[in-house]
Amino acid sequence: MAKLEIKNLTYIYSEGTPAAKKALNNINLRIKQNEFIGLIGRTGSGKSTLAKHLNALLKPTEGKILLDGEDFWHKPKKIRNVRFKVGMVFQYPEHQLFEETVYKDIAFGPSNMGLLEDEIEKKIHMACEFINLDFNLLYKSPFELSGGEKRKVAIAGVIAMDPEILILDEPTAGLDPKSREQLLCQLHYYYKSREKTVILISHNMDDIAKYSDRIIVLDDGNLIMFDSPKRVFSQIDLLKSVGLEPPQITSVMRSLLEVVPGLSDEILTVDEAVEALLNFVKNR
Amino acid sequence: MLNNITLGRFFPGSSFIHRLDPRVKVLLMIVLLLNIFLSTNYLSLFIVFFVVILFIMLTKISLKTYFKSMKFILFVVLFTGILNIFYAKGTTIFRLGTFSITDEGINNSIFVSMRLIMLILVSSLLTFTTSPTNLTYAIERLIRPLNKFKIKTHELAMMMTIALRFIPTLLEEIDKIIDAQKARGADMETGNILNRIKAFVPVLVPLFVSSFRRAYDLALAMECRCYNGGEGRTSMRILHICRNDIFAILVVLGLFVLVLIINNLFLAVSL
Ligand SMILES: Nc1ncnc2c1ncn2[C@@H]1O[C@H](COP(=O)(O)OP(=O)(O)O)[C@@H](O)[C@H]1O
Ligand SMILES: [Mg+2]
Repeated sequence: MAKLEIKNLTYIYSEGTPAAKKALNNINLRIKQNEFIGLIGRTGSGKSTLAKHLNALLKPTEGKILLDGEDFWHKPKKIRNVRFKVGMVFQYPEHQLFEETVYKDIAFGPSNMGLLEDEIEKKIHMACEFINLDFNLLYKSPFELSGGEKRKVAIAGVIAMDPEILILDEPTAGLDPKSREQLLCQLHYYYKSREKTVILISHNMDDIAKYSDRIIVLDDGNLIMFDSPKRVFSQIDLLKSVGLEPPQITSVMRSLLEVVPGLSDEILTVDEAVEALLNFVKNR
Repeated sequence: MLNNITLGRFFPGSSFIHRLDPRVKVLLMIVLLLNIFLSTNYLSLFIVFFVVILFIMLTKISLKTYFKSMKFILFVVLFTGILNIFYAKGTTIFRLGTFSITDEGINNSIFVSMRLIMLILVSSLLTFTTSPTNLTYAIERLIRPLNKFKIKTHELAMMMTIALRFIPTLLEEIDKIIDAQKARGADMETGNILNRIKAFVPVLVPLFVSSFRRAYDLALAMECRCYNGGEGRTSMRILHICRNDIFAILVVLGLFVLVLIINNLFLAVSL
């Protein structure tokens, strides 16, 4: 059974006013438990809108969303339970910090869930380890931290709720390369080691290609593709028509293929490229 | 959730009303409002109402949008309307215990409700069809004579422009922060008043922080572009009164005179 199922989802912003805008158009998706999903599309294609639906922050104009086979909006009063199971890290999450100390801020989510004090502490330590946050920072004010540290604290605040499905909306935008790599590695580890589902929105095709099991491509509110990275990134013309590009290394390898026949045209990551080239050199 | 508020919003378009000179539009709306309050009899009230509806049709924005802008104020209209029914002298037509409903009461309540509704319609007419920049531009121009009294009209208008400019940004920001806290399980919808007020701390703190950051950024950006107040500043846009404007002025002034004449006629009849 699908962990998360989206059926005929349509969403219209400001319905009934002249500013009405159809942001999602009849989307159907089935996402399994323990999948790493990449969500891509150009700016304004509806990625954030879709993400907000999965977290029950927006109610579908039409269609429904099922979590473990149960309709999200079946019991609107219990909607918070959905949010405990589906965690969401927004774009620029550092703008949501508000508590006096980092510790209290990370504790906000878990205490909303009604956990006990010692459980909360455990979760906070787990989250800090996960995100590689220095324990010494826990008793500082979040407003004293650097931008990157604030981002980590905000992400820890969601991780501490230990959600079954974790959605991240462009979490690496504005991070330095090392922090970005670390964050992505940790996300991958969260998904692998704890059998969670992760949905990652990103404009970095290299990251998406490297980590995703399957990729959702949106354009202007329509679902264009939902398939494995190999198949998605082999449809270069279709990708270009919706304003996207394959990973840089894929383009490089394709250009090489024109002069050196015999290389694979399905290479998506630098590691794969290195291996393919080494093999090629050895067998020559 | 805040997206459903239409009151005070601007809907871009190119209708007759959209294209009027903003200075003329502001003045005309003031005269229209005057008309509403000068109409002391049904005939003039309905003529003014008719003209307001005519203008609304000319904006090509659906009536539904206008009525949406009234949703919040509708209960004020109902409340004052009902109060007025009971609160007047005159011939009793209906008695309900200690309350009596008089003909004058009913008249009063109709007038008060109609006036409130028209008030909202006319102000929506202005804000729906005038971009915030044009609106403040018009106001800056109209209050310029106050310069003579040592009032810094340019600074006033600049503050207004900035405030207006940032209302949508702030609303959007509030929406975003509410979403982010809800995603962390914040409970904004249930519980007693005290709990609900407490639930707003996680929204207000980030909002203040980001507002200060924005204000700082804006001040810096303005300084970088050498902004130093109103002295010797010229405008990029120069407004011209054209034929449409004169036509609209004639219609509204005609209405003004008509209302005065009808009022006098009624006064003469009742004497
Ligand atoms: N609050 C809103 N009100 C009206 N329209 C919106 C709102 N948020 C997003 N949209 C519109 O919906 C479309 C999808 O936006 P979004 O989901 O934010 O795209 P993405 O995250 O892919 O950049 C865009 O055209 C955007 O203008
Ligand atoms: Mg987005």
